[in-house]
Amino acid sequence: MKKSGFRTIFHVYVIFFLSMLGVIIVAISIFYLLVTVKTPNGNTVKSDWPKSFTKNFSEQIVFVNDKPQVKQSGIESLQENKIGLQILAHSGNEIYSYQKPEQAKDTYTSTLLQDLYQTGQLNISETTAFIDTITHNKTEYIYILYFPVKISKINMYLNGERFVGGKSVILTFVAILFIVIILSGVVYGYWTTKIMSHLTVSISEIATRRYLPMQARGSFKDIYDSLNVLDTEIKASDKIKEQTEKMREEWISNITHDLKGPLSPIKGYAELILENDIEDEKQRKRYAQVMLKNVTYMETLIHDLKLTYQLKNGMIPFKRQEKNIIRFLKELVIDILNNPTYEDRSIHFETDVENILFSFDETLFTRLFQNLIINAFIHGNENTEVTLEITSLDTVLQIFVTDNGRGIASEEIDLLFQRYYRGTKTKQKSEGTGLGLAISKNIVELHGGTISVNSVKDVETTFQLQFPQIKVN
Amino acid sequence: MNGKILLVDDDKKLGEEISLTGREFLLLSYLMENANKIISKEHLYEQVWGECFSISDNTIMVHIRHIREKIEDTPSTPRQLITVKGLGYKLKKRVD
Repeated sequence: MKKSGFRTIFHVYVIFFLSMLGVIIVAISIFYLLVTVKTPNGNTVKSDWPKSFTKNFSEQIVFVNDKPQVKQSGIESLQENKIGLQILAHSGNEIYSYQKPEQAKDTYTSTLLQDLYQTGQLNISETTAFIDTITHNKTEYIYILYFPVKISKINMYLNGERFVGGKSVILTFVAILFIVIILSGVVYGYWTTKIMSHLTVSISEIATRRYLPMQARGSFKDIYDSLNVLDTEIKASDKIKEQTEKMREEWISNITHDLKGPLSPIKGYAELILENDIEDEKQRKRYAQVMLKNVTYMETLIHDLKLTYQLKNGMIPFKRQEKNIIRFLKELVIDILNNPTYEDRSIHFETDVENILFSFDETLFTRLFQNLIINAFIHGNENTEVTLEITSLDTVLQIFVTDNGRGIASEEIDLLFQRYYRGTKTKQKSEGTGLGLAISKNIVELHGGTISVNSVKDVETTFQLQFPQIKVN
Repeated sequence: MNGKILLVDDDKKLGEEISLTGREFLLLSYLMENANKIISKEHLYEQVWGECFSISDNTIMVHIRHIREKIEDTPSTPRQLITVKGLGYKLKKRVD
């Protein structure tokens, strides 16, 4: 099933959001690393701390007799932070120093001072110099502070207009972007929730059988397709259950009816025998015969019922043996014709080979073909003839059982193989139990085959049986 | 082995004795024992020869023909020892 649109949207959103988050985190980390330094004391300070320290240090310088001195607090501060100090006269000559590094010069030209101011570097590792001025008596003095940290000063030369204006633009832009992301997240959440609740309603509708299949929309197409399929399945299953129930009820009513039939003469004659004194031996024998006949019929009926169930559920001891099916069927037909009941009948036996080996259960196949052939005689008239046609196609054993009897109406054809269907026009007294064809179908299917029927009313009926066979060579 | 058999016939050949070969005798007597019943040629073969029937064996056909020549009025259109097409042979108890 194609990936649903909503999943794609979700993935895109998540990817975008995580990337942004990642970039932000990385940017913040880099920024943090860049703007902090570690002092020898082990403190972490902002990288512009030396600058502000330098600026504020002017308060620590006092002039005594026009000579610069550092307050005690200043000295302490310098000591604590291991900062060196040099105070220069306007000319650039050193007039005071404290803890100054070795590489510090005694005189600084203005070029040197400029350089020092620009870069803060003194070719000493781990030291950066900061410069500021202090004025006393209208004279400017320069002081240099040497910090024990490495600070890089970068001068960027930018487009003045754009830099100033740009800052606000960028900030605005970022703010808008941020708001858009948050908003779209909210909208997405809302939209998903709405779809979810609709889905929940649909699902409960399926359960209460009130669901109407809907044409799936957009990004949730596959979910709705699945729901539609689920609903179809449930409704089909409901229908089958209903049919099964109906069939079961019919079955039970048929059985009760059919068992009642033979029970009544049994009861009747038994009562007769009980009540009356029957001197006539012949009469007594007759009564007993009728009773026994009905008992036998009931036994047959019950046996057939059991057989259908067993066959349907694969409970029959079922032994397939490979035999010549032609010979088998030939003997079966001969047996039928040798029976006084059918000795005047015609059964045509047509085959183009003498031997087809096929694996089947003899008992069941006897039942199967006897059913089909004798059925044809029962449902036809005394002139009805049956033709048995056997062919072996490549992987299929095909057997046709045709009769030229009265045919079967099309509306009855569908019901034919259902258990317990008797047909409406049986002229002869129906000896059968009505389960014959159902049993036949079960036997065919047990052998992996199929059975179907074609009929032309008042002309002929053909049962077509097909069995898969493994062709040797 | 030869045998003699007494045929009682409703028609002309009343009480006629005919001469049969051993096999013919066995065949005919089996058919007579199962008069009016169809017997397949495979079954006949197994009964008389005691072996399994092998395909496309014309033996039975030949013997039946010989028997017909001996017992039928018109061997080519037999009325007693008839062929049931596709199934086998049948010896009818009565003619007509």
